Amino acid sequence: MAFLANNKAAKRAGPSSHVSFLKYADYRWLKIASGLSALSILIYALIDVEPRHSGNSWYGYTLGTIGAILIIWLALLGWRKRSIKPGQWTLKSWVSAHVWLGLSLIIVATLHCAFQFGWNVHTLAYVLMMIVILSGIYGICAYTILPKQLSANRGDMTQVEMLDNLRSIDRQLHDATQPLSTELANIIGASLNADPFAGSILARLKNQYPSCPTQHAFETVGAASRSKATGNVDDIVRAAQLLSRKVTALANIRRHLQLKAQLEIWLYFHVPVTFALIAALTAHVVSVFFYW
Amino acid sequence: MIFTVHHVSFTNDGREIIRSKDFDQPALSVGRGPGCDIALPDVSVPLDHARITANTDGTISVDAVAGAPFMANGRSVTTLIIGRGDGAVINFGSHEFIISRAAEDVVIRVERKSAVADSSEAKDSKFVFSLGKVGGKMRLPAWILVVTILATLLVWPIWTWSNFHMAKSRADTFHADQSWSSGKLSLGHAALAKDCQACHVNAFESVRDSSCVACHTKVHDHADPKSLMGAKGEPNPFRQVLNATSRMFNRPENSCVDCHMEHEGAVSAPATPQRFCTDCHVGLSTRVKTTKLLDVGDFAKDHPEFRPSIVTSPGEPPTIQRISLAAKPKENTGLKFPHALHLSSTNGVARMAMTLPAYKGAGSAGLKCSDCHTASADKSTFVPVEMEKNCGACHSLGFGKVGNTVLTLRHGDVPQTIAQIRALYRGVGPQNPAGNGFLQGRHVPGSSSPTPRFDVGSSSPDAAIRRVFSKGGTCYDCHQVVAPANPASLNFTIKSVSVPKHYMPKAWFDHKAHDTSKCESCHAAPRSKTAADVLMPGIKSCQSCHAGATPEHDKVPSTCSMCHGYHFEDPLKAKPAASGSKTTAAQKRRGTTTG
Repeated sequence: MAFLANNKAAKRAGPSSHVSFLKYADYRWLKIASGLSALSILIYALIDVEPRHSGNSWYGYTLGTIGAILIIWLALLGWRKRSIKPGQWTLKSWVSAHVWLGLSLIIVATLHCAFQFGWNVHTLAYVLMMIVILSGIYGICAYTILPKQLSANRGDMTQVEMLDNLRSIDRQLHDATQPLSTELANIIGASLNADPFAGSILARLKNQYPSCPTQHAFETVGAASRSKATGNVDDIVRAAQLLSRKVTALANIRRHLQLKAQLEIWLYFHVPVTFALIAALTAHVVSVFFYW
Repeated sequence: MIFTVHHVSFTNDGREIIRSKDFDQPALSVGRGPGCDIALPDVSVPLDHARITANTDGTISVDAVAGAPFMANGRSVTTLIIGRGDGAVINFGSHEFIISRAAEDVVIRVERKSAVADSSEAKDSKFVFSLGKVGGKMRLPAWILVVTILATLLVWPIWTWSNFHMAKSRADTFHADQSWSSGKLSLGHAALAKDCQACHVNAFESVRDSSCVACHTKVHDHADPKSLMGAKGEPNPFRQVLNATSRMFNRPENSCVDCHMEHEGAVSAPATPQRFCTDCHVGLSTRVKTTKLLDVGDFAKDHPEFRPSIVTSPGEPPTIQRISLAAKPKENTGLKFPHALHLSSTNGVARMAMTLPAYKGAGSAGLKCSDCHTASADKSTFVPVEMEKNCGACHSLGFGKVGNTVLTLRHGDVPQTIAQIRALYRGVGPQNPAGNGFLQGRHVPGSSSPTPRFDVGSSSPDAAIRRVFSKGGTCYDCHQVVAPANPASLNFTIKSVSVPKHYMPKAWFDHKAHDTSKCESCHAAPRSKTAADVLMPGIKSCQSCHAGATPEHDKVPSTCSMCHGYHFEDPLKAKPAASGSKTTAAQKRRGTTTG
């Protein structure tokens, strides 16, 4: 009943005030998940299962059923987050429940299998589940830490503004390049034609772009601007200044890309492995009853 | 000739804007330089790139000035001749020139085909900033994983099952359904590791007893099934729910697999949990009124005193009764054998043992248990005592001597014995008995006065025969002799000897597992002055080391199955693993003491 009272209080407070998904409704789902875990451990410790605990005991089947239902429900977050609709189950409450109940699955599933592992479909399902959960734990950490850094990096700019800034610099650079020699024009042209969002996943995560044409142009044109030999020094200096601005803007964008990549990379494990887990779980459940 | 150049550009909403300019001159310069006739604001175009010349023969030639090539009709060239009346599509950098004719004039449509920079092109910022731009979609790997797992771990095993359904055995190779095995089979079933179908016959059906009895043909029921049901009584509500759930999933109760769990690792089949016994045997008499069995619970607290099978009267067959040791039963095996006399370390028996070659190793302590009781090959039990082998060294059956050969009475054959004595008299007569110490002066071991084994000085063989079967005679020492009703008759008989093979045929006992203890720590033989004493130890003796199912301090946890079996028939034939201890080969053949 206390739980219901908390629920009502949370609804009155409304979702508008910013509360982390972890703290949602005064840690309601943490309490529920802890309760589930503690109860699972307590019963596991107290009951006498002969000859030993296993997934094949009545308690093993009970925990297995709870675990399987939890996995399916947790996976439904992917569907829920795409379905925008009003109701008392806000997306934040879903995420909060997803996170805490997902963590409690470590206890439920481990006690279900009673620490028995082998090279079989059953342990495969367990391992896939642990990959999903561990990647999820990374996700929780990423969503707790990285948004602040992301915000600090981009300042007041939105992503669209960052891109517009780059476009503006590129247009100016394009114009400034017109009087330059073919050689310099080609070098700057390489920078203009390069996709600022190109690069591998690894490049984004490490924020390392070793053969960046803009950096190359910045260095070459910068060197030319400092050289007395060239004729139209003013034009070259202008281009070099624009390239300098472009390097800064690009660094800003790339740091943003790095943080975004760190924020999203876990989903590349979390989501496909969830599908693999559901497949392995299906094989696990069917095999258990098939060879009953 | 007039060149008409149309510069084409587009508004944001896609509307075309054309700015045209006529050149009444024979040639046009093309390049990025502001001085060119067609100046292209394109960083990929050289300052002075090409010339477009209208030749007098009506053709048009396009030539690269600085040698940098351009694209003409899809090919990279440095010069191009456009035939009279023909047109062409030429690309200088990002700009496309479409050259056509209008009467005698040349029309050039100039259009920029790509943005001034990559960043200027239309980009969905949400997409390009996300990892999906370089990581691709997750859907493909997800589906690959799903299909791979379902194919290899679900479809393939089911296909294997259908292929080998009802097959007797399978090839000794990998079979896909082995990936379903939750653990290794017990050692006894290890050979079936690749024959899943041997036990798992029909889909979605628990392992049936028919699979078990296909191999275990001699296993019988524990008791009459009706009695079993009665003994179980009404299950508690929780058990009722579990049973109903099991039935719902096609797993009936009271099957072999209820007790015999598999896939629990490559060890001996685990001992049956105690509750499978105590569920029925605790309070059994209240549920099965006709039972002769006593109520039994945990060994430490609720086990009655042992009731060994006691021979109360020897014979063919002997009378055997199960009598509680608490009643201090007496047995009558037909033998006279005081253990105390034979195990004394000070009496004549002891002294005699020291003088006999077979017992010289015994030292001054006299006879030991092992001098007569020989352990079986696996040392779990003892082979039956034999008179000639185990008693004969002291209790000689010799009655004469021919040369150096000792004549011995045939043990166990009364008519033969009588015949042998008669032959002694008839054939050669008493041969100087006084000088024949062998025949005259033997002492009964343990006695102080010499007692002749045969009164060969008797006037007749009849007297000698009578002496053999009478008090002080050879047979009389150990056996119960039945004298003939008529005193003149010589129809002596010996009562049958019925030494029980198992005192406790309902249980196992492994002597080897207890070989660190002395025999007398359990068997009170050294104090037993009569063969009527039952030397089986009582339950308290066992309980001093063995706890019940719950481990106690310094005691061996001992569930029912440590000593008893559900399908138990012959204690010497089979023994499952003892609860909580490693099974040895000896344990499998464990039997009771053989006296």
